[in-house]
Amino acid sequence: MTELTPANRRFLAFDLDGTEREQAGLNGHTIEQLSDYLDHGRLPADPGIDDSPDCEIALRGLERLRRAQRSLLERDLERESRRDDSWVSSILNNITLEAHAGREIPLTHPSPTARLVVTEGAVRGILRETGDRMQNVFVGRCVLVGDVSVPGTPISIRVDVTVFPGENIPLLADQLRHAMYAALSKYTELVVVAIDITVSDLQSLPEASAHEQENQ
Amino acid sequence: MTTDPASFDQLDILVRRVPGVAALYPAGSIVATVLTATLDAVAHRAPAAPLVLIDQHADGVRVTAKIGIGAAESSRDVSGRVHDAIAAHLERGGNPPVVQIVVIVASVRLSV
Repeated sequence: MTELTPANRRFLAFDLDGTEREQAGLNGHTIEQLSDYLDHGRLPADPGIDDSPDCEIALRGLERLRRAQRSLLERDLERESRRDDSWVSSILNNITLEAHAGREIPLTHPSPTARLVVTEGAVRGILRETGDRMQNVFVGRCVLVGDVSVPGTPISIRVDVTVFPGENIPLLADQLRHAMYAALSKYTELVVVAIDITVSDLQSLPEASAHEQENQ
Repeated sequence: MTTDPASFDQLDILVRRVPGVAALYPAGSIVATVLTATLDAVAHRAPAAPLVLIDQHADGVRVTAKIGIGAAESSRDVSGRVHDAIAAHLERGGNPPVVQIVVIVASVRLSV
């Protein structure tokens, strides 16, 4: 049997399909169930969701996504029906995929009895939230590349983002990179040599229809 | 050396009180956690399973705590404090020697 390296394990996780993949990452819950749970104000309380850090990370991602959608709706209400919302599906898939705990990333402590770690899922959650807090950008896929389980090993981060109208993309990428470096240095001891940001989706407002142009 | 179960029972409360800890999650397997919760629900009793996991071995105890932290402080500072609090508590309680204390930071709440 071929030995799995940490990198292989990551890709193995990506090979899981649909619901099976979701449930592996969300302690037996699907993203739809978590969405319903939010719709009902997290009532009645479900300990299977409330006691799971993976579900919490996914729920927080869902809440931020909903806020972004509401913001877009308020900005361009009359054209909303024609908006292509495929980016939402893509981000939902990534929230589901990346909420699971993943690898353990060590933290130092002088005591020989201590083994302190932060999970890969928590770090992805930090990166995602750092990006989502910025104006007009939403983080899609977020991958830690390299052996994060060995202290001092240089690693890199690959992030896909969706950008909304009105942004200088190079400037935005610089700001996002700086914010992510700051967050990573506060909450991890990872040696991050690069944060590669790809704008994978550029959202623009739909063109006015011919009918609208005629009326103008 | 005798084991003091009462001091183990207090670990959940102790960890929750450590500054910077925003959440305490079950450190055991999800299957065991769901099974325990289900049995508690069927029996109409308050959930009894402690969240901090304690494994007793011949050479001592291994403790695992899975936490969520707030944004104010670093993962290392908060998890280190949790380790130190557990170690001091078990030492005071006259328990078997501590082999290892595992603290897992499973979520970071950047905003409320």
